[in-house]
Amino acid sequence: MSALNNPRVKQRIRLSALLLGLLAVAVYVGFIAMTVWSN
Amino acid sequence: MSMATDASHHHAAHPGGLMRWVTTTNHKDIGTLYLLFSLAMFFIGGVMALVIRAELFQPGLQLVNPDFYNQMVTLHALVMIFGGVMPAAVGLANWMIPLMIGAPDMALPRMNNWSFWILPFAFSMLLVTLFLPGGAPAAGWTLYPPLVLQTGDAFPLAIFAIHLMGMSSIMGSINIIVTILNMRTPGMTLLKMPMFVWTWLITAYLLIAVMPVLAGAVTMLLTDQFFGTSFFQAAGGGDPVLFQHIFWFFGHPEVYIIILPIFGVISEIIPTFARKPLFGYESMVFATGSIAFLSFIVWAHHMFTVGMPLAAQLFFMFSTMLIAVPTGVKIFNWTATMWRGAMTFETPMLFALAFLFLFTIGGFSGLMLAIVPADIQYHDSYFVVAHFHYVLVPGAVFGLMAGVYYWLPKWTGHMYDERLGKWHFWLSAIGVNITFFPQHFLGLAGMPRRIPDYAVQFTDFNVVSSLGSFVFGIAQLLFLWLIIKAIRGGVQATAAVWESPTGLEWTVPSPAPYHTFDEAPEVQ
Repeated sequence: MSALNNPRVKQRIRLSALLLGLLAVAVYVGFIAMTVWSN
Repeated sequence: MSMATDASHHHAAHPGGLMRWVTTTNHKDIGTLYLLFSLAMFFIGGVMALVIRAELFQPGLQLVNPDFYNQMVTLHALVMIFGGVMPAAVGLANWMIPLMIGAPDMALPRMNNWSFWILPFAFSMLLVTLFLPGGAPAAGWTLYPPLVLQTGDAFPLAIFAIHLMGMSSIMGSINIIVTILNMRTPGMTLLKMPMFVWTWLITAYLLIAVMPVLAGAVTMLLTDQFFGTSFFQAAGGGDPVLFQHIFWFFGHPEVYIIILPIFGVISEIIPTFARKPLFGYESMVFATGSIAFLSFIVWAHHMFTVGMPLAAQLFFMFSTMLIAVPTGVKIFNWTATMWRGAMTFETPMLFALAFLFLFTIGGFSGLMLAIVPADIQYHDSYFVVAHFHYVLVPGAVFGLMAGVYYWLPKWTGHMYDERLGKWHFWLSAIGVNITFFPQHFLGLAGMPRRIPDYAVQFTDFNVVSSLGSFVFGIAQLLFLWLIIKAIRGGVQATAAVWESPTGLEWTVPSPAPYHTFDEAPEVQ
């Protein structure tokens, strides 16, 4: 069976994409927040 | 939201013509789009480079005014880095990673489409600034305030374009990581993955870690300009040097984002043409990881001259020098792979070998620049221009070209014209050295970078450099013609293409069918 038809794989794909997206947003917000704080 | 679910159902009927390319979720289509886009950007950025070199052919101002010259310098860098090299590497990733790991497509095919189609809008927005009042951004690709805040109407457009490029890169990276971690065929453990897949996995993490940093920095520039903040404006209590720290916290890992996938390409090509397995596979993986880690702790070597405590200078100097260790491991492993191999010198191998020699020259001049007291002399001189162009042109660009020659028969189903390929290689290799090697001497003699005019004693080396740049530029027309020729026809390529390549991508026919690995292949 193709990996994309496997519900467990699909769930893992969504979860890992979500976590990585959140990481990117956290870095963005974190760096701006750090700069505000350091000023 | 089922970006992952529909991937295997979308193939029954897909539109033809232009709509095929606009709506495609197929990794091969999107890889092709990325590669064609980056080729167009290489030519646009290349014309800008030739404007720069034509102006520098003689001292004095001949062709362009200084402000336009600065716009060319800035756009050349932004177009080449964000429009040329990075999308080309993402194009290779899109085409090859699913084929290499035995996956039917990328894990998030719709997001993949979106990642690509953001780019033409971003670069249209960036390039259209040339025609706005005040012209394009002219403060250099580093966008240092307060200079960049003097940009005219182009400023918000350029900032928005950079945000879009970042979003595209982050989405592309998420896709690559998720694909590699979740969609490898059964039996392909992490330490069985091809090196190209490994280097992209690590690069994608780097991108997610630092692209938002650049986005944050330019967002703060935007608020400084339009919303009354003073993050980087000294007049309001801000600190312009803080921008440099934030920018280079992004900028140095960016250097490795550019080069690590190329290391992966070279690690695929050398074993094929040396007819031996890659020497020290595991040490290659760990060296890649080490380079990625070190890339986060060296950023201030770009700004030794702004002033910093002695302890900081020493830290950044030694951490920078430390990068030579894992890089040396890689150079050693590639050389050891070739040792006693049955080598042949087809065009991909020629570009890979030129990469090995010439990237190492760029690496050595990088070590020279890491030495604080020496760097204070070299800083902002043409020595720096020579250094990073050796890393980026015969380094990254030659590596990309090696990859294109290596995989072109798999993409088009036709062998490229080997004779034309060798002409392209030799003209490029000679042209690139004539262009950039004299710039070392110019820098050591004191010629500053980013100037449209120079003192007469620098004339001879500038003449040589400009002539070399036109040889290199014209040679790229051969590359374009060769690609068009291979797309239109030629000798039919076999599935394996080369004599003894290893990897799943060589088990599918050439050209690779529109859909591959609907059933997961077996890996021992």
